[in-house]
Amino acid sequence: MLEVKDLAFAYPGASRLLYCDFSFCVEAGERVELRAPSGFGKTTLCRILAGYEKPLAGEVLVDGAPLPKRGASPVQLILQHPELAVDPRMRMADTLAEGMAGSRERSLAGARSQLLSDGEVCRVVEGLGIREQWLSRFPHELSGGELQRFCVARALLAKPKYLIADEISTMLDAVTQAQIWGFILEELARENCGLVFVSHSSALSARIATRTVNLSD
Amino acid sequence: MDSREHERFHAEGIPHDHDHGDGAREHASSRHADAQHHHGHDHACVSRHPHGHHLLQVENLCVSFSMYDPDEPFFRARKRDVKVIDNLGISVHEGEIVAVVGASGSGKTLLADAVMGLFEPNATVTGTVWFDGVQQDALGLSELRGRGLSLVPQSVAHLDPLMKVGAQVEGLPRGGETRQARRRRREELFSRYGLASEVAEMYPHELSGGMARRVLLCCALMDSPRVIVADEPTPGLDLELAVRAMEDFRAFADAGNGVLLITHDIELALRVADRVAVFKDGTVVEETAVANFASPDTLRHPFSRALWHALPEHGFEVVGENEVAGAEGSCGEGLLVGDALEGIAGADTPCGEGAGFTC
Amino acid sequence: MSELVSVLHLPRVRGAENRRRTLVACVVSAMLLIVLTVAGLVAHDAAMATDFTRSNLAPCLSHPFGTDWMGRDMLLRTLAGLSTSILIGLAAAGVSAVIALVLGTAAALGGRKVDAAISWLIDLMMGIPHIILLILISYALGKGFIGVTVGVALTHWPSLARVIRAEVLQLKDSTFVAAARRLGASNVHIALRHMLPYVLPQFVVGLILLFPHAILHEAAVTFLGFGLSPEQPAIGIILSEAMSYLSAGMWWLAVFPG
Repeated sequence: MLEVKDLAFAYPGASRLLYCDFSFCVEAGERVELRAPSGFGKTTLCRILAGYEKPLAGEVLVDGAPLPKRGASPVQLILQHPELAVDPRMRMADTLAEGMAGSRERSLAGARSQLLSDGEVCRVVEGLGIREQWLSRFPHELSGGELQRFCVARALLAKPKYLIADEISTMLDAVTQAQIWGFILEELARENCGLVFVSHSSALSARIATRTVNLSD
Repeated sequence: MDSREHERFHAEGIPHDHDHGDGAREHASSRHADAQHHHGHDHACVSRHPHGHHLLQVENLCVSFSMYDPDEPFFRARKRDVKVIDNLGISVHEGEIVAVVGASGSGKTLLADAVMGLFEPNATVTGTVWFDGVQQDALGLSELRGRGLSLVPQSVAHLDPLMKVGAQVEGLPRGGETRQARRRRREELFSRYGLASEVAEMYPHELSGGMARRVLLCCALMDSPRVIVADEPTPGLDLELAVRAMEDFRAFADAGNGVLLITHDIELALRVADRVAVFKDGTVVEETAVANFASPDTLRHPFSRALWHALPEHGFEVVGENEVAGAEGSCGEGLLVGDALEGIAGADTPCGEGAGFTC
Repeated sequence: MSELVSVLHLPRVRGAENRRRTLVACVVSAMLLIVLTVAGLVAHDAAMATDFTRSNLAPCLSHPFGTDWMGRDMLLRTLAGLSTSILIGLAAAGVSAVIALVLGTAAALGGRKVDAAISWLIDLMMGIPHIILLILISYALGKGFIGVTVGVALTHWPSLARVIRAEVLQLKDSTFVAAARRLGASNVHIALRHMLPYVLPQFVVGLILLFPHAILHEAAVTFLGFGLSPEQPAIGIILSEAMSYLSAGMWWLAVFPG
């Protein structure tokens, strides 16, 4: 269970608390939509859940334990802008390899050639429609849709218990959106992994969500 | 219309009239019935041709960049031309909003730049652009900028942060205009769009989101353009707010002008636009009335049909992969993993076409 | 189809192979530096050789740069002087850039107090005129090669340190570093894979910019008499000595080394 307990958060220098005594929880296998008006702080909540921001007070617990300081986090975040989430000076194969547990100890040059001999990687790469020659490209040589597939693949390879998706398909065309979400839903069901997502598209939310949390209430 | 598309229309047996002889594309009739198909695109009920030609027409637009080949070693890599926009054609009629829909980063902004006569230094741009029935060259387009054709950018980041809004909207008088005349025009626009006179004295960072959008619109309208090109005008807004933001464009179009709305958001496009141009791999594969998106049977191009099926409110599924498999297409399923990957590498387009910029 | 297609825009420069030209330029300038240094080292002894029978010659075929009042060949002296200066410049710029790298990174990653201390030090160093500090350090260390090198190295790091600090700070807050951390990347991995590739170009550019600066300051200090010992051929020494002969019309002593 992913729990948020008595959360309080404000950006440094801001006079207003973005969240105050906020609590909610997500069960394994659940797919929760976060809904709130623009500027309410949905993205901030997503970042707090994934450990990108430290709350002023309160805590984020996964199965009763706080998020680990080191090692792969059980909560993985996928962002709206994949261009920001990948290192522009790293080839995509190395970026993808970051998601693999234990690969960091290996030399990364080795990881690139071993990448596709790993069955798990192959399944994800194939399921998301990532092409082999993209692996040797740099991020600026790929489109947003192609990069977002890598970000999803990287997050899924880290074997998260909960996935946070913040408007991940907003910048993509509908076909890519359907393909990426189709694969994510399949993976979530297979791993019994929970999902928290934000989307401005009500039709998409209706397709995916098992529960909706309205933050403004 | 390029020859490839031309052949397709003939192959599909769609009647298609030829009036290619003259530059201005005269029309026999000034109105079309809703969803009537006519040289390459379907019309919406609001589309009009009052003078027998389109308000803005772009044909055979190609934009290519000279860049290094990413698949070669760094120092041995040769430069080659990468086509980002390939034989694109689109028309804007009077009284309509045309949405260009495609994934972000796929080159839609280049279309806007080309129409506005703004070119990157290392770009090669070819094509024909008619504005209100007159063919334009690069000089003509840059002279039309602001006066016939205006751009509404994404956000206030496009305003000068150190200059008062009013002065920015007024700009510098051109030709025989006086500063007072421009001020009156600006005040008139501000009152029409519900902006208080104090707003003119504000700096861009003091504006709220809605005010900023109206200020940008006033900027665009300052010199009474006929066509507005709006490049992703509603980022980060949810659909309801975005639709409300588009009301101003609707009013502008209803007054007999045209709007070219460039967006990645197909839901928004279907809600506010009259016609939709589906942008894929650097070209417009289909220009159709929004009404045709009611069912996949009225869509002509396989990619448009795939889009329809992929929409969350319809199937939310990827269909006809073989048809749509372009640079973004997925790999074949049901093969063994190793084979599949080899298959992809083998079946891929030679890296001349899709590398780098396709989406 | 008879279609008139107008070319709207063409790139102004066609097909310049920039990468290859850059490579060639880099190789040529590196070769030039190496050849100069080696030639200077070889010529070092010859440059000290005096021949009073041939003193104060104007530039001619056997002595293209002329000779000085002790009959030393000015071409050889200039070469030797250049190589000394290049060596000092290289050593000083290298040490200086490493100091900048270490302090800049420490400021960015070391927490608020370390950052405040290092930033204060940077401001302090930038506030004091280079040349005064340089003279003091060089004099305290007993002038000579070591004194000048240490002096130049210790005075030239602040601006580069500030650049590196800014770069690392920006990287530390970047989304991709946060993502890598959440994926379980260790600090070493992040430093090597995500920060080094960004800091390295800044570092190299800083180093290259420091290099002529260091040479210039070395020459200045030596000229003022607080640097290298007078028997060593160095640009600053040569110029300093040439000063007194300029009024006698021996322009070649100052023009060529200058």
